[in-house]
Amino acid sequence: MVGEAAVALVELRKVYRSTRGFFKREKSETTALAGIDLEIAPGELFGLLGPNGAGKTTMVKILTTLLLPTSGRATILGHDVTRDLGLVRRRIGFVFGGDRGLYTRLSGLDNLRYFADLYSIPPEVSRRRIAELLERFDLKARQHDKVERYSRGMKQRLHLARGLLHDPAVLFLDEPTIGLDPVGARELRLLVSELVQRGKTVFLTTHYMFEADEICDRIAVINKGRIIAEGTPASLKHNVEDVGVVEFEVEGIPPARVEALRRLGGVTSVILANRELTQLVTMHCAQPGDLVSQLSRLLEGLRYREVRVREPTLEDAYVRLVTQE
Amino acid sequence: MNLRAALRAAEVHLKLQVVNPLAYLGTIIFPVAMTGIGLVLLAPGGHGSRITYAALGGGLVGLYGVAYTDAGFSINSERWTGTLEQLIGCPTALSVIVLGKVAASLLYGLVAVLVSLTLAFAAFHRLLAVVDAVPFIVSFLLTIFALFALCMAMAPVFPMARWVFTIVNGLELTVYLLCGFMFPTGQLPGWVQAISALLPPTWTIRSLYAATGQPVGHDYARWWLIAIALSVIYLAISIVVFRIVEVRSRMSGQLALA
Repeated sequence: MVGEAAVALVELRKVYRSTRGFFKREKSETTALAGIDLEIAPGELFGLLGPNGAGKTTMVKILTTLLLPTSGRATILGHDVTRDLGLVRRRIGFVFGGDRGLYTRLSGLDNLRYFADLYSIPPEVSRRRIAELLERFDLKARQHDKVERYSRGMKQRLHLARGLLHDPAVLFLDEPTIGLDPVGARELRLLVSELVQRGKTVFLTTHYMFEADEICDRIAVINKGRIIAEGTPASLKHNVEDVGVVEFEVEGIPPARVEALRRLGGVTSVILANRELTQLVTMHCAQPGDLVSQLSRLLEGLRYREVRVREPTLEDAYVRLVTQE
Repeated sequence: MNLRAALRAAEVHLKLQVVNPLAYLGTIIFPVAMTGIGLVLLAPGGHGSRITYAALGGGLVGLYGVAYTDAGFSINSERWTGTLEQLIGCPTALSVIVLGKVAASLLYGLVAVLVSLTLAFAAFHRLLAVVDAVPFIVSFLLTIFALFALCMAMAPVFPMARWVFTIVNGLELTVYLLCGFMFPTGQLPGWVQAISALLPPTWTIRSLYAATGQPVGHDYARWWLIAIALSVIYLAISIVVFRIVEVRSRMSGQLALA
């Protein structure tokens, strides 16, 4: 046993090996996790952030027994995820984001009944618990409808109900709010916070920084298979206190102008986010006041508006960490 | 074994098949075609034994076709719908879930037998001339068990690799021929008969036709024992292959479609 942690990882590595070619087999290796050490305390809401391909889903899949690590060790409540499969699977629940993973041609109730039996929940307990979960996740009125007629938010709530059927101590949520509308996503975040208040340990991966900032007790940032930062949202933001952030909206900025912005002294990163008709430019720099004074010259001839200087957020801390890597 | 989980898996599978138009292809269209063609080709001779092979054989082809297809796709279809990870992540073994699905397939596959026999009666006014009722019933039940064992052994082989899927998918027809679904295996070349003898349904189907008066001998007890022994071996192989497939999938990350 690694310790009394809800989740513990020691030097966890995962290397995907693949081969190509029919006659001349070419082997290739991709390191998804390059030796991860991590501990999550019981009752903690832990967030894992990282860019696509950083190793987030690989880590979750190893911890949920769906993937075997290449080396190292991972335990859930002291049980090894590679050896104590039955024990681990009874203590964990998992919910993956997206539309898939449900029997859409069955009713929501049938989906829950099926998984209740697969988790060997006694019939009298499963009847009561399914009724409670349908009520709690606002699915009771539509329980007999086929899942294919559910909205995205309802499907995600059904996923969550399925993940909680056997009352797991540790819940893994892999991008659970992906594709949800803002109201649905907010409802889900409230539900997750409520679960933690009831004593569950939650391991959350997300792309949404505000989500992690809002609900997580502790966050780790993973990039290229390594944990590059770990701490509370406040402590991670503290790392970018020396950074100033300047933001503005612009209509169709040419790449050459973006390069010119990047070359400005003191600018550490320039990020472009496409909006409906405009682009949002976010610049990190040491002296935001100096930068603002130079912008009018650099953006001459372009239509831009709302130049503002703001405090760094968790997203800025994340961007700095990942781009530094 | 979690029997309740297997029963629920069977129930879920039946519910999903009822709303799946392709399922009717296997249980109605395919056996009607096989039996119809068999009857048209074999009946002009007027020999009763030929008609028995067409009527019963068409139904058995339908029964096995449904079970084989469902077993073969039982894991891949879960992968395509994204439910395979949910199933693997449960404490219930994947083999128990597939067991429920294959059992359900054999149950509704019986519709194919009924359809074939009804067609034979309606079109040619022929009923099976059952000579020995008890051996016929025992042989029929053992045929279902033998088909179950064969399908359970095949089920985990399908998702191993794409090339395996292609090859094993094509073996369905081979099994009809090797096991003598629609003609006596004695007509096959000697070396092919040796391969037939390794398949459990060969022995139960032989005893089934023997019970309807076909001239294939009457060594029921020996045939049944061989069928049971081979079926048990196939089930043991299936448990091992299921474990191999599960470990391989968990090593390579092949549980999800991505």
